[in-house]
Amino acid sequence: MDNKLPITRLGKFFSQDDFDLQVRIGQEYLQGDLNMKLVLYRVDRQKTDIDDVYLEVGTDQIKYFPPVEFSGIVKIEAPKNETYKEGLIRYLEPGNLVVSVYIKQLDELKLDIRYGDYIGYPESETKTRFYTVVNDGKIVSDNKHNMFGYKPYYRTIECSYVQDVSFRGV
Amino acid sequence: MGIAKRKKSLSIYNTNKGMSRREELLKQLTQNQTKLPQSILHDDLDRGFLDYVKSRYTIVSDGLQIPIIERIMTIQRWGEFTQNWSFSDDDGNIEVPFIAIIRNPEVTYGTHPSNAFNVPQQALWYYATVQTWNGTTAGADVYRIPQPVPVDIKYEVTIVCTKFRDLNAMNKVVLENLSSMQDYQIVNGHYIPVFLEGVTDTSPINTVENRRFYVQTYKFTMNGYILDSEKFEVSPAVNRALLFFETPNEGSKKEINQVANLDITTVTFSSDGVDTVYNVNENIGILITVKINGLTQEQNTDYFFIGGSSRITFSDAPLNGSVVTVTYIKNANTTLMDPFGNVLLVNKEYFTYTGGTPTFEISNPIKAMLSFDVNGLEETENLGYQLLDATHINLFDEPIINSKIGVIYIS
Repeated sequence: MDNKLPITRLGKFFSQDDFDLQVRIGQEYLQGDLNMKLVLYRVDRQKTDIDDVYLEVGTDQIKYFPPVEFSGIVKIEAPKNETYKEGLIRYLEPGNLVVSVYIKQLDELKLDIRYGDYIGYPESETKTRFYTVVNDGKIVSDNKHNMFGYKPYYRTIECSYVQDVSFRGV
Repeated sequence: MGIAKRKKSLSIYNTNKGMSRREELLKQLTQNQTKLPQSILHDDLDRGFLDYVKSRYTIVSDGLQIPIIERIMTIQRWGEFTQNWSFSDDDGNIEVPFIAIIRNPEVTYGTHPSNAFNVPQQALWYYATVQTWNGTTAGADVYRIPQPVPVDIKYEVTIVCTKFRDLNAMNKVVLENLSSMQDYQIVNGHYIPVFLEGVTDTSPINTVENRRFYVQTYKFTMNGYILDSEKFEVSPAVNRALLFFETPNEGSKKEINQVANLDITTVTFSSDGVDTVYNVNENIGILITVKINGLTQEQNTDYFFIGGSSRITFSDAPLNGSVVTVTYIKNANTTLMDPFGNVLLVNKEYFTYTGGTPTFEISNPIKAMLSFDVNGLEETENLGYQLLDATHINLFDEPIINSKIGVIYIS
């Protein structure tokens, strides 16, 4: 059994009950009021048969765990208008997807979001865009992710857009 | 120890063999041929390079060929999607992987070996003499073309992909194709060498928070040359005509006598609308006809000629683009003799039709007709006119009043 070190700081003003209450209120707002849903496609790193030399796989050869729906605060950056070749062969694609998700929700779902996993976000009824995790936000030691200096309570996941040829959500 | 595996059939020859190969070569040599080389300009070279990449750089990734954008990428924004729609996603973005071809806008004076000897000022040089036969007259045309201008055109072939193995496949094909330092592409029948200048990598793989892909660019140089068929010149050389006439002898038996074996030269000019003087660059012994766009011109009215000189001077410059044709016998043949040693004369006479029977009496007994025209339009014997006797010519149809009748004949 893992050793657990109780957090007693701020004990005169803030306790685990207060922390849980704040998180529940936030979750109620996020999951009940906002109801912003995303789908996580976790890569099964054991079953995916990778290339011996380059650690690459072909199209549609990545194996996934069953997709899981989760909630988070979604922020999508402005589209990127760029070119592949010094002003030629232009492409316009969505900016990065930044998702803030409660650590408690991930614990409840027994879920971990890892670098390289895929996330789908339904932009409209007919269009779901897919992103790959470029920063899984596992390090939550900073003040921003910390509730009043008591404990971290959410993770910020940053994802980059992937083309349909790379991932189609199937 | 097992038996070593052997391939039972090897495809050594990728092309046709035997007779079919010879026919293929013959077709290559003769198709679209006029004995002159085909024109080759910038867009021909660009099209040739696109074909070169398309045919020689087939890269397969995950069982599918990596698409090649079969156009030179330019700065016109609207054009990109129109060329790439077949492998673009719903947002109009090209799906990775793909291969694109970019031409450097600047084209420099080339280093092709044809640069070794220079004909200055784009002067035309002799290319070939080709026999001609129009069913009546045997002759020859002289073909002259300008020296091709060497050009170096630089292209960049860029592969955008997400797999290292695709980069390897592209690299393998490039190095194999250029293992002999240079490769060739046939552009309009010309063998154009292609060199590899180098390869660069601009893959944005150091940006961890953006979409990542590989971008590798192979830089090629095509050592081409420009040859514009608009500047080719085909001019008639010597035309040889045999003139015959029939005379009844005393026994009322017809005999055919050869009048002369004449070397008739025809020179053609294209008018610029300004020049009134046209020089055939050799002394004209006997001037037969001068025509503008096929219309026979009248001497001393429409043009002037000093006997023995090489120049025709028009009173007014022919219209721009008009074809001026001068037919003459060279100076060496100033005096024409028949096979019996009799001197022959070339006569030119002009009449104005004033009405009545269109019969014209010429001054000297005709031995052979060279030209008969009505207002410059040449008539054909026995179709438009006939010889009534040695001094009278009759037109079948009456021309309009005041028509100018020109007769050039040998007496």
